[in-house]
Amino acid sequence: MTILITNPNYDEATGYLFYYTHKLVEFAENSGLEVIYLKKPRLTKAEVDSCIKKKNPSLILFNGHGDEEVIYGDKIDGVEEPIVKKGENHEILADRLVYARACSAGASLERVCTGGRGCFIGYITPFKFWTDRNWSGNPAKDKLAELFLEPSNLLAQALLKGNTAKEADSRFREASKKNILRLLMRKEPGDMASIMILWDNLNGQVILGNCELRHGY
Amino acid sequence: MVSMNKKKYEKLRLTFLKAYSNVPAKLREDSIAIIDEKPYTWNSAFIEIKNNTQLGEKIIKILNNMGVL
Amino acid sequence: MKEKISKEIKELVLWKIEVDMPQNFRLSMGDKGTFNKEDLKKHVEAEDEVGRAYINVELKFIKSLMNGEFSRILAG
Repeated sequence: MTILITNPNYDEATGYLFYYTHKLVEFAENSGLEVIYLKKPRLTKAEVDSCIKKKNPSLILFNGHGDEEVIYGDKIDGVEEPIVKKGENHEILADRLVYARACSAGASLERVCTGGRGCFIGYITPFKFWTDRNWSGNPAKDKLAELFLEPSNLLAQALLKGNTAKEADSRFREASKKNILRLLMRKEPGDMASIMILWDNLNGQVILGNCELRHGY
Repeated sequence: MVSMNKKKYEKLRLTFLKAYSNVPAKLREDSIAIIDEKPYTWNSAFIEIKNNTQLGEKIIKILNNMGVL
Repeated sequence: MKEKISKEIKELVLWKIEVDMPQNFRLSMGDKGTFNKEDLKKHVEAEDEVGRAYINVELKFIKSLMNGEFSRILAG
């Protein structure tokens, strides 16, 4: 079973995602899955297109930026390169299981990609997270960012383990709720702000298409 | 501040009081309105609104203007 | 057409950024960028795309508390 994972790294946000996604790659490889891991310089539209068409991955994990109609890869010559664009090549995602993290692709792209059998988990509003300036450049030590990024990783891990999209979505929701409850029980500066963003991500996540889809099927 | 229609005020007042009961204890310490540069939390707003004070009416009007009540 | 931002919510959001947000916090908002406390205040003051997005997050949160959705989801 083949998984495709994209992992850009060119700004603070993608820097954090890069670390968390790398953990997923290790998890997938240790689970015996064949992983197509696309990061710079291989993270280009042409490469994504080619890998999807030739290798037919049963699960695709996109990381990075996007908007309602585009999922971006890395920066090529200083410019973000669209790797999937509505109206251009969105059909490469049809009938597949896709999780697009940190995009707002759920607003529009998702709806044209799910096709008959596919499933797309994404966000209708940008995925947000607080980071701690004291750990800038060291996501591994940033416990603040972990509150937001770990639930997202748990979703991806659930997909990698072969859970259905619905089950994976639940993992994210339960982990986010657990973090909100934990913050409600303590008194640390910034907790209110963190609760608000955890709540925003909870409500911003959408799952469209065949929720019972799991990779390999 | 122009007085709100009494019927509307009463309806919004009851809505607020009911809503307050559903807000987790810690979040009741969060600010919800600013009047004359002074902040009011869910808790302080509750005291004013429950006791039908002029300040309570102002808070209700602000929450209504914000579109949250 | 841009929805009008009420001065009441703007005032509240600026206050909350001032008192609730520690100096070391930075908010990553997808492709909009990453912002510290002072950045956020400037964007909210300006009511630009970033500022409006942040105000909207606060507004939705307060609404969810007011209509009971927050507690309902957490309790469920």
